[in-house]
Amino acid sequence: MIVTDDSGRIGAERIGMPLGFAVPDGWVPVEPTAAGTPGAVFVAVRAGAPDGSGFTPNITVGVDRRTDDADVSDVADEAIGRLAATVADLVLVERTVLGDRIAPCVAQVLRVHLETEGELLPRSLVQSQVHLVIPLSGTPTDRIVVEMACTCGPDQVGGVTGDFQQFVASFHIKDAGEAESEGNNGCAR
Amino acid sequence: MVVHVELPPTWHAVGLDDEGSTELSAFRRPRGGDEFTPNLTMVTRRSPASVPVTALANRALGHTARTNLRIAVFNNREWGNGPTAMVLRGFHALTLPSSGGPEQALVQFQLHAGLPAEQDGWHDVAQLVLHCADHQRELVEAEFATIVQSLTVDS
Repeated sequence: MIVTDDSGRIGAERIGMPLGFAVPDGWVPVEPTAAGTPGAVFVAVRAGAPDGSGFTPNITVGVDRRTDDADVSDVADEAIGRLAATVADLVLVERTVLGDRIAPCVAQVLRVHLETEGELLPRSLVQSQVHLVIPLSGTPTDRIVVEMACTCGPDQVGGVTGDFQQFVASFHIKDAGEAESEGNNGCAR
Repeated sequence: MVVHVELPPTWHAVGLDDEGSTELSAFRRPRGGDEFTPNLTMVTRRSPASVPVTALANRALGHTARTNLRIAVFNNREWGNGPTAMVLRGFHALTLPSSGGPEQALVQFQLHAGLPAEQDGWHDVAQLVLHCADHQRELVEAEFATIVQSLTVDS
């Protein structure tokens, strides 16, 4: 499977680094542009969504190369701000700083309300985000920033959390042999 | 660069720094019955010109979400783009006062204005933040707009 961004380039090539991850059983990759998330390099939706609010849970992966002075906490704050600016209201439920100084990580859970036209009640969604910073050789500020997010309805959290944890745990930088054998397609199963 | 703003007569400034007004704190003159005194701060920060002002505004909004119970954006406007963009956000913030006591429903306005980039690849970004109580929003919103429009820069 080839994962491309809206410019048609292979997502992993966009940042010059082959990324590997395992898509959990029951999740179906879709084109990010078709899913309405052209900035993502990978999107998967849950086939046969579990009972809940009628929302189809999805996993997205975004990557960016940054050379500024933002740390992983700043990166995670920016993600909250981006989301907050597009929803009716937002609550940060939980935030954990993981990893080490060289490759730090922030995991956070957000609950948002969307104002939806034609619906009596606002829709609630829960988004789990994991932000990774992967240093590149060269200057200390040159690094890859990876955002993995899983969005679902509040009643679906129990049904997708394990899958998302599995997805995050499988995330890795492919070594040269793996990338070559899989055609550097940004996704491994 | 030094950033100046003009305050309406209902506001008084405190804590001007030695350089003029690159750092500013101001309070709205109290009215009878107000339990919360609207306040305004302005700071300028150095930032790499490669970082869009929108990213800085998002970072500030995320930080606010992290330090409050709930936020709800009701105003989100942006002018220009890149390092010299200007981003205005207004939002409700449900907060627990550091001094204790019950939850407070506050409103916050944030303006992030990128100043022209300098030769070293960095530039200043002016950040104005206004806090008021929920019920004071109508009172101060127009005043904040006036303050924003008065913003000038001396190089």
